[in-house]
Amino acid sequence: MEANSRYITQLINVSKIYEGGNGTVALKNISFAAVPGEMVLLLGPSGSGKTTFLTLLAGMQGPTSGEVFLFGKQTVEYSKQELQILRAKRLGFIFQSFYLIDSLTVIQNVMMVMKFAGANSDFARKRSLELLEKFEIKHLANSLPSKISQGEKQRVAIMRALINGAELIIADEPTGSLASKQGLEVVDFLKNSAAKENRCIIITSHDERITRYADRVLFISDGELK
Amino acid sequence: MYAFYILKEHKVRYLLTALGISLCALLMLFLISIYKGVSYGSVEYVRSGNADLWVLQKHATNILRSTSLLPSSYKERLNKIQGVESASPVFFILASIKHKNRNGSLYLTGYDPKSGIGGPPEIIKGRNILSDDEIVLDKAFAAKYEIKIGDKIQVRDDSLVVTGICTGTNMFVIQYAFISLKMAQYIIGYRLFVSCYQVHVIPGSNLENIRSAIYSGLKNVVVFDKKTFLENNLREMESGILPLLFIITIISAIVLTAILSLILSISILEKHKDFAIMKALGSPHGFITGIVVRLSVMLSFAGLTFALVLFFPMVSIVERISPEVSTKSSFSQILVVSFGVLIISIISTILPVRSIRKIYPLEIFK
Repeated sequence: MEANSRYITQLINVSKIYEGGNGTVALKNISFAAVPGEMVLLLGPSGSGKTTFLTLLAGMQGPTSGEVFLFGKQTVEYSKQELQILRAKRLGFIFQSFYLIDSLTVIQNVMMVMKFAGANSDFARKRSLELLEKFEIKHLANSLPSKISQGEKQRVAIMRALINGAELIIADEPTGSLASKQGLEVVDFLKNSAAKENRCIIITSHDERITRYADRVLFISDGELK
Repeated sequence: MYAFYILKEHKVRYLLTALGISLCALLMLFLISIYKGVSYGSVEYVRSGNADLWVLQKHATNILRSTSLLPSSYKERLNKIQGVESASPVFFILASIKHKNRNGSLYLTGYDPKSGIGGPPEIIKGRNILSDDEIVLDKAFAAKYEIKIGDKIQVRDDSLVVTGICTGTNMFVIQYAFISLKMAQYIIGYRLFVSCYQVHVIPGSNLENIRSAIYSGLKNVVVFDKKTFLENNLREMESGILPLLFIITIISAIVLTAILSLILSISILEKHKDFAIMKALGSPHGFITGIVVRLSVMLSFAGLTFALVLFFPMVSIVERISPEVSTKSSFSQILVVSFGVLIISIISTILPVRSIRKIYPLEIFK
C-alpha cells in the first residue's frame, strides 16, 4: 500500500511493540486505510490490539515501525500543537465509559470541546442547546452526568464528538456500557452520521451484532488484521 | 469555570485551605502593622520635634541605642552662634518605675517645660508637665499598668504625678515618658550634663555655616540635620526588629506556598482522569494550567478576604490584651500583602503545573 491523500487515515506496514516487561507486540505489520463517509468496524477480543490501533491512527502515539497518515500527513510529523488542534477540530472520540467530566453539567461538557476549538461562550451555548434539542436531551442541559442514565450519557458523549464537525470519529467500544437496544441505536446513529455528513467512523467492538451497520468489517487478533 | 466547580465539589477542604491562607495573610498583615507601629513610635519623637539640627556627643548617631553626654554649659554657647534661634537641652535616661507594686521601665525624656521643645509629640489626654514633680506617660504604658491621669508613680525615690497621656512614643520594647530636665538630671545625679541639644535656626540661615560654627566652637560633638538624624534612628530601630519580622514573614510565605502547592497537587491527582480526557479532546496548551492557576488565585482571594475581615477585630483584641503592642495599618499595607499573596498563589502553581505535563491523553484508552 502507498500513501494516498484521499484517505482520512492510513496505516502502512505498521507494527507496535511496547517496550519494557516482555516487549509486548501489540500490532504486527498492519496496513489500513479509510475514506470519508465510510464506517469501519474493527472486531476483536480483548487484548487483540484494537485500542492500540485506534490510538495510533489518532496520533496519540507513534508506531514502532511503519507509517501512520492522518489527514494526508504522517502523524509523527505533526507538532504537539497541531495534534491538539486536530483533536479539537477534526477528530471526535467516543469511549465505552463515556468519559464525561463529572463536575460539569451536560451542556458544559459539550460547550467545553467547542471552546477547545476556539468558539466563544455565546456561540458554544447556542450551538450546544440546538444539538441537545436534536438529541432530545435539552431538558438535561443543566444536569450533572451522575444524575443521568447510561444511554443519555452516551448521547452526550456522541454530541461532544460531533459538535465541532469532526471528520474522523474514533469510537472505542461505544456500545459496551449500554443495553443491547440502546447500543444498536447508537451504532445506527453513527452510521447515518457517516453517510449524511461524510464523516469517517472507526468503531472497535467485540459485539458481532453491529456488523450489519458497518461498510467494512475487519477482524483483529493477536495484533494482526484478518 | 471548571476551577470553580472543583472548588464547589470539595467545599470543606477548600474552605479549610482558604482559612490556612487567611492565617498566613493575617500574620503578614499583623507583622507589617507592628513594624509600622514600632517605626512610628520609635522615630515620631524625632520627626515631630522640628529641630533643624541635633547636637550629640561625638560618635553618637541616634537617641535609641547611643550614649551621649554633653555639658549643660553648651546651651549658652550654642545660643551665641550666629543664626541659632534656640538650643534646647534634652536628657534621656532609662529608669525603673513602680506603680501599685508593679515594676516597669521607661525611657525618661527630660526637657524644658517652659519652651516645650523636646516634649511629647502628641498629648491625647490631660496636659503637658508644668513642674518638676509631673510626668507624661505613653498611652500603651499607661494602659498596661492601668495608670490614670492624677495617679502618682514612683521613679526611683521620687513620686511624680501623671498629668498627660501621649502617643507616637511606643518603641514596643520600651516607652517614652516626659519629665522636666531638672528632674531628669536630679534622678541620674548629673546636674551638669544633658544628652543632646535640639537646635532651631533662624529662618533663612545657612545650615552648613551654623553646623561649621558648632564644630568650631564646641568640642567633642557631632551635628546632624533632621533628615539624617531621622534616618539614623530609623536604621537603628530597623536593625533591631526588621530581621526578626523579615524571617517570620518569609516563614509564613513559605508555609503559604507549601499549603497551596500541596492542595493544588492533591486536586491535580484527583482530577488526573478529567485532565487526561481534556487533553484527549484537544484542550489547548495552557488550558489546564489556567484551571490550576485560577484555582490557586480563587483560594488566595478567598483567604485574603477572610484575612481582611478578621484583621481589624484581631488587632483591636491584641492591643486590648497587650497594650504595648502598637500597630499602624494603612491601605497601602493591605495592598502590599494582597499583592504578595497573589504572587505566592502564582508561584505555588509551579510544581503542580509541572505534574500536568505528565498527564497523557493516551491514559484514557487504558
